[in-house]
Amino acid sequence: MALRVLVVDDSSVMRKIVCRMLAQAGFTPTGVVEASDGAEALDKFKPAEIDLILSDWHMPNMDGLEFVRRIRSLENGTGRRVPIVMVTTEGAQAKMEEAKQLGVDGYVTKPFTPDSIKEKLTPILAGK
Amino acid sequence: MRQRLIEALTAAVEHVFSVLCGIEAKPGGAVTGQPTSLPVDISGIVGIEGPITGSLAFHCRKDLATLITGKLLELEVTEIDDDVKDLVGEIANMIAGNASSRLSGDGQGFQFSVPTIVTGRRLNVRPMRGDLRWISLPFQASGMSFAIDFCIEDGA
Repeated sequence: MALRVLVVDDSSVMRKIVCRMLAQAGFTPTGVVEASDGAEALDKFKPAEIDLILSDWHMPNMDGLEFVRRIRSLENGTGRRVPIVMVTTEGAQAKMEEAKQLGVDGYVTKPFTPDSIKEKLTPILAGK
Repeated sequence: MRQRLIEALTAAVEHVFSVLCGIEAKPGGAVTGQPTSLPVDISGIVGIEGPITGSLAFHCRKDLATLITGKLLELEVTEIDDDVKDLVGEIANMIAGNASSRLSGDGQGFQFSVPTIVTGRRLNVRPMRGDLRWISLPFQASGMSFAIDFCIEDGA
């Protein structure tokens, strides 16, 4: 499945690992856009060119939650809604309720595998 | 509490190495009262606040750090570059998060700092304060030694 994805993480190696695992999970990440924090991701975000956003939670300048808030605000009234999946460490699951209120569609827990990414993303992308 | 912490940290290390790297991490015996005596080339350190306050450090040599990074990126990595530093910090973060989940169910109440990375050549870890409590966990992975130090400020 071809996928245009915006990967937001302050760790460049994690952005690379996410892209590799997407491919190993059977997705074909075409048109990958990378950003190192929420502010950079907002600058690079073009709704018509992105099928999925994968975002880290803790980042400098603008964290994942504020980024989600801004994206959903931008989309308000446009009829578009890009799925957003947070990439979190274990221990942050309790905060996901707050994230869901803001419009996050799901989360992937680090460390992840191609199988766990596939299991999380497939229903979210099917519901797009 | 100390035994629970040792068990949670050991299980977290085994889980992160197995899932992320596909490498078995074999624990040695925990040492309390002092940080690791292993000479290290790179350390990822995460500050922890919550039911336990302190820091967790993942210490290893260049050969293990580059092996893991190369394996995950499917590249030949021979030096400690930005990818290696990033990954060592991420591993420290994942171990802290996983251990906190094991200690509190869902990790609620714990907060973690952005990882700090220290690099050098055969560095020795020494405590800077005398009032800290240490748990040091030695491991072997792919025939190479690494260590997790947990420095407790209070609460355990």
